[in-house]
Amino acid sequence: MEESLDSYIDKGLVKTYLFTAVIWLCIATTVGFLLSIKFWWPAFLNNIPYLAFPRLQMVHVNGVAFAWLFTAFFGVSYYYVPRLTRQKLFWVKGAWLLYFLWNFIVMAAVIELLLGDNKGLPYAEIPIWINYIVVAAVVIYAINMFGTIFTRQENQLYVSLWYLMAAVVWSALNYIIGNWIPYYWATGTEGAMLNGFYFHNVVGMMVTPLGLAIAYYVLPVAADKPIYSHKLSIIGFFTLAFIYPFTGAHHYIYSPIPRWVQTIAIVCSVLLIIPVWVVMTNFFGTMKGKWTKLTESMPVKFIILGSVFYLLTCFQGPLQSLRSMQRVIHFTDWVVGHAHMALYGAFSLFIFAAIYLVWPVVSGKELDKILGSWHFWLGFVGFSIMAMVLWAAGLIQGVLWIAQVPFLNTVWDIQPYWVIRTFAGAMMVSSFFVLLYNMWKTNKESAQSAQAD
Amino acid sequence: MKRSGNVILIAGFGFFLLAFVIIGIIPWLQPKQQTHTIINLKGKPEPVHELTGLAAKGRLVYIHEGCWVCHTQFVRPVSGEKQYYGPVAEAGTYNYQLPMLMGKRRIGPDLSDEGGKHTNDWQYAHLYDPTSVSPGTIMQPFPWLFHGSAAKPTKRAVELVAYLQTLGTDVAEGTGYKSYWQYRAAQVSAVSAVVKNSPQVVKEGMKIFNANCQACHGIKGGGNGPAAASLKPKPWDFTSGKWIKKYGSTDKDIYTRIAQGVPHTAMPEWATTLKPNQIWEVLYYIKTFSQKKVA
Repeated sequence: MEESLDSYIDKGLVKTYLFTAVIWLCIATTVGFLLSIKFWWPAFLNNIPYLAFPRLQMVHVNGVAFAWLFTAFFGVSYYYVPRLTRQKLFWVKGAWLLYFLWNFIVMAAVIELLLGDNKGLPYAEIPIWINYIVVAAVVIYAINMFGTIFTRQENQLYVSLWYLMAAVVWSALNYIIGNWIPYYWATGTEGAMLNGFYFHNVVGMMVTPLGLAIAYYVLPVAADKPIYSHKLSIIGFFTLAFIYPFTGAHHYIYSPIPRWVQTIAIVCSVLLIIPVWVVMTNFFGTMKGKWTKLTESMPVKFIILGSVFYLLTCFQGPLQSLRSMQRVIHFTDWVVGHAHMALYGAFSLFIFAAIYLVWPVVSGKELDKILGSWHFWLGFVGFSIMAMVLWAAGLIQGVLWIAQVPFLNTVWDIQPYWVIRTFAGAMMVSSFFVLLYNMWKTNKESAQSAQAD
Repeated sequence: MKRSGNVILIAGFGFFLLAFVIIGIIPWLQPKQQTHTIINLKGKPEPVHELTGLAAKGRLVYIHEGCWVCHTQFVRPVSGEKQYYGPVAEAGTYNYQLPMLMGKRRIGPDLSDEGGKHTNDWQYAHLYDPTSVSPGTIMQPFPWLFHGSAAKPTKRAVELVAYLQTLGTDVAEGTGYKSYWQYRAAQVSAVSAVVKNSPQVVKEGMKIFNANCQACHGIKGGGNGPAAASLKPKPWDFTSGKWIKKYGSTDKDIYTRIAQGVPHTAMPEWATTLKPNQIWEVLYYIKTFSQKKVA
């Protein structure tokens, strides 16, 4: 049974995607680490235009979101989609084409951003000529995924596949809306509205469904138990799909965007508690009777920690969209801490769980457990410190601004927190390098033992 | 096949495009969102100017150098931002802007009203080496916009500064002032022109001082009021005259200090409780403490 499912998978493909993704993760977060130093040592690398703060910032954000998360999402989907459909990938060559295209996109984007070419729109910085190629890449991916799912041999359509299919559609629509309209047509407040719509949907309608698809797949397999409730899966999926796209304007509360749009965004942000808690009930319900797995299985460890962070992020998110919270925390480091909790705390951890599940299959050998524990704990402790420090710094600066303290004084007041953030960030970055080394080592040892046989 | 079609059509396209129409398209059609008029500093509607020439090119430099990564252009009507930065953002301000540059994070201060706040020379010096005019700042220097010194800006630096000098100047249109800052400076000096030093004013100041200030600064201005023992740093001793040297010697400097308070100390911003003329009155009274000593 297990063997036959494995036969649907192109192991080399999954392996290449995942290894590349982790390399991008290491690069993008190293850039983030360098950035964090510039906060308290502004003279650091400040005379080279290509390493200027804003340019590195754009590389960090886009690198983590598009180079790391999406390469990994593609890679993991080439694993779970064939297994869930009992069907080989519809277009394996297309998957390889996407691999080269996507890495070309990432490298072109890095070079362009370092040269200073950017669109001036948050999270849509990548120059427009690259955006065309991204759309082509999404189309290639869509053909591959829909082709595989439509010709599937398994009658049941598992919830992971719903999230995946919807995410492909959302990604295409959202990417086109967010990158073209505010750049060519939507001026002023309308541009802000669509920018908020776009960049919240990057997280909510692209990263979240693809991440949840992975978690929905990995958790039952790793915990060795079917998902707790199919009904909850349906509720979680459709409430997310309905509510999430309305929340974008909560990034521009108190702006000249019409007040009713802001109110819709706030109400829907609060309503997001529903899909999140539904999904989490489903996950924790699945764990019922299987909690011992938490100590034994690396994938379960990462999924459960990721779920806890997901719960926290999505409780924090609704709260911080409230007008009273916005007064203090908007424009501060608080939001930066929140963003890290979503992208690292929840979705990167889901992907790590998938890597610990998938890598043994595709490379033929279990990942080293001791290195795995280092990866887990360095990342967990580092991230926890970093998030706390950013939230504290954000609150302090927000309150000082309200107290009309001169701007520079507020910067000096939170500089000590930024120093701690750098050390916490270093822990996180080193945890990623541990993972990279672990994957490389396992693969090499597996190849050597295969040769010996 | 049927179920996958539902997922794609209803959740994928249906819900998403519904949201896009409701919060993306409908607000776009509201005339209020398309206005090119704003309320100026004197409360009258004024048309906004579209950027042309150097300033329009400077805006591209602003985008290229990523200024928008650390600086917002978006003053909110809450959290005292009006006092901190200047007039609150209006739809009209932005409606010629493509792409909009409202920004998301204030690693540096908001630049909505940067125009006229500093001279061009200051802006060049600040871009070339921010710490030269703003010690302790963490801002990224931009020496590559200069030919080796702040006095020799490149064309791009000239364009950028031309752009910065236009920011927020539309609100001053039709008021007789060039920028918000010129308007505000005129407001402060207008206060000083109204309240002249006189024995009557000093007497009024004494009443205000005894009601509000003496608990910390002492009834005779010696910095030894009942509350002073628990304060760190200690309240200023007005009898010595040293305090004037520390916080600037002109009346306007002292006025600003009283109005804004001293950050990280027990000294509050009195502008929120006292009227400008009351601040002037108490200022003249405080000055008498050290004058008595000298006399």
